[in-house]
Amino acid sequence: MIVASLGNRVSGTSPAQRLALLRIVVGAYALLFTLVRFPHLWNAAGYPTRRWDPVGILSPLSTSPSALVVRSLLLVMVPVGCGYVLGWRYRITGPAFALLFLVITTFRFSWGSVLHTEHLVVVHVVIIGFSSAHHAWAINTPKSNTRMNPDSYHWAIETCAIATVIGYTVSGIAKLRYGGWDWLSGDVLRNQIAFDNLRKILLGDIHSPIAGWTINNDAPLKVIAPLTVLFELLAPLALLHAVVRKVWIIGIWLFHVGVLALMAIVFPYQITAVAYLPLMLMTPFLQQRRQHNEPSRDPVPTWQQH
Amino acid sequence: MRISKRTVFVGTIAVLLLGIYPVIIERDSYPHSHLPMFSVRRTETARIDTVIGVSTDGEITRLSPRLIADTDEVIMAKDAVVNAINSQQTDELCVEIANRVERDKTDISSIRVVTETYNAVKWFQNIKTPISVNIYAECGISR
Repeated sequence: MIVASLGNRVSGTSPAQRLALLRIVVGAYALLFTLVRFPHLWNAAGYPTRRWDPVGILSPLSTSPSALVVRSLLLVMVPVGCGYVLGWRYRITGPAFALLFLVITTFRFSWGSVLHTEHLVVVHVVIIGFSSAHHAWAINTPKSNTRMNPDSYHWAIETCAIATVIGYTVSGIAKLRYGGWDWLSGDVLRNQIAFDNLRKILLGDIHSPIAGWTINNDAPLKVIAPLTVLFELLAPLALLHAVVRKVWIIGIWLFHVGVLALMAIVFPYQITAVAYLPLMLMTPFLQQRRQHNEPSRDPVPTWQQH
Repeated sequence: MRISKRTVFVGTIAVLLLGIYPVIIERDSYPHSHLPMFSVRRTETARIDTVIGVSTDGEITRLSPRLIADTDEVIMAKDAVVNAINSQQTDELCVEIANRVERDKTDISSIRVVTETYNAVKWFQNIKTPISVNIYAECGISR
């Protein structure tokens, strides 16, 4: 994976540099997302109020904010996002981009649909935005004597990693709660693939070219379905050990590839593997304990342990 | 500057609780959600709310998310139709879509907001006849 190879390159970097790398990659992703979705978001500002169905922090608004306000925020977001990525005046641009990204993506989902593709990226952007991710690889990097205890950088990376795995566990719980044990049989998954692709066809959208074949040859789904739930429920184990982490990241990434191939649904944050970068940059908890017990703590090279 | 262990502990617990509490209250919001995607206990029967275009000779045309809800996201188009049906605003939606289709200069002569019920699995075995079609609104295209 691209991010894995990137991770190998950062072996030997300081905790501040690893958090900075997270700021640059996650920030660049969020900024690119904003630019790609810019026409859609610009257009959404003019949707009829009839469709306004606010969620999250916009819930108190009974009518949609004016198009002028939304479009102004969008225009401000781009330079502030550049500041976030570059670490320029980060005490301002970090929290500002985090809040703007939260507001604009919430606005995007306040028209009757909550997609689940941006939940994780916004949590990461907020955690990093309020951390000291500008203490390395940034314009105006502070002098070394203003830097913090390494644990403070670790904390932001680990919190992002915890947010990643919690999301999967929650999703696994939902499958068992609503899909029941039938979900594990593979039949519910087959029906979901059939339903999702048929809906796309009936709504004039692109559908998976291999859906029909898969639905008519569904034996692999009887293995894939329980494996998916297992990987989701056991996601927190990826925080513990480097080997488990590698297996989990590859497995869960393949799950997203499968969703793309069979239902033409893209989870871009996961498919690009940016979602898993915090896991790759953190020192797994079991290895931290071992390092603490050793006389001199090696601060970084988790990539070279396996 | 040092962050105390207590701050780290409280922060971590806060992230954990914020991640888990939507599961307890079964809330699908943003950014906190119980993430129910793909979790519905689907059967082979699929009820799909959509909007179709009908030509003068009765031929059916599938409309894109762009024409249905001025979006490129199929889920948003689906939700626009579902919400209009649930709030009994299908006439308004129909006229809104007719205006967009009108600009497209197709041979569609009318728009229908419908719920179509199929056996989704059999659809992919080439049995494509709907089990039922429920029409909520129909409106003409003025040219």
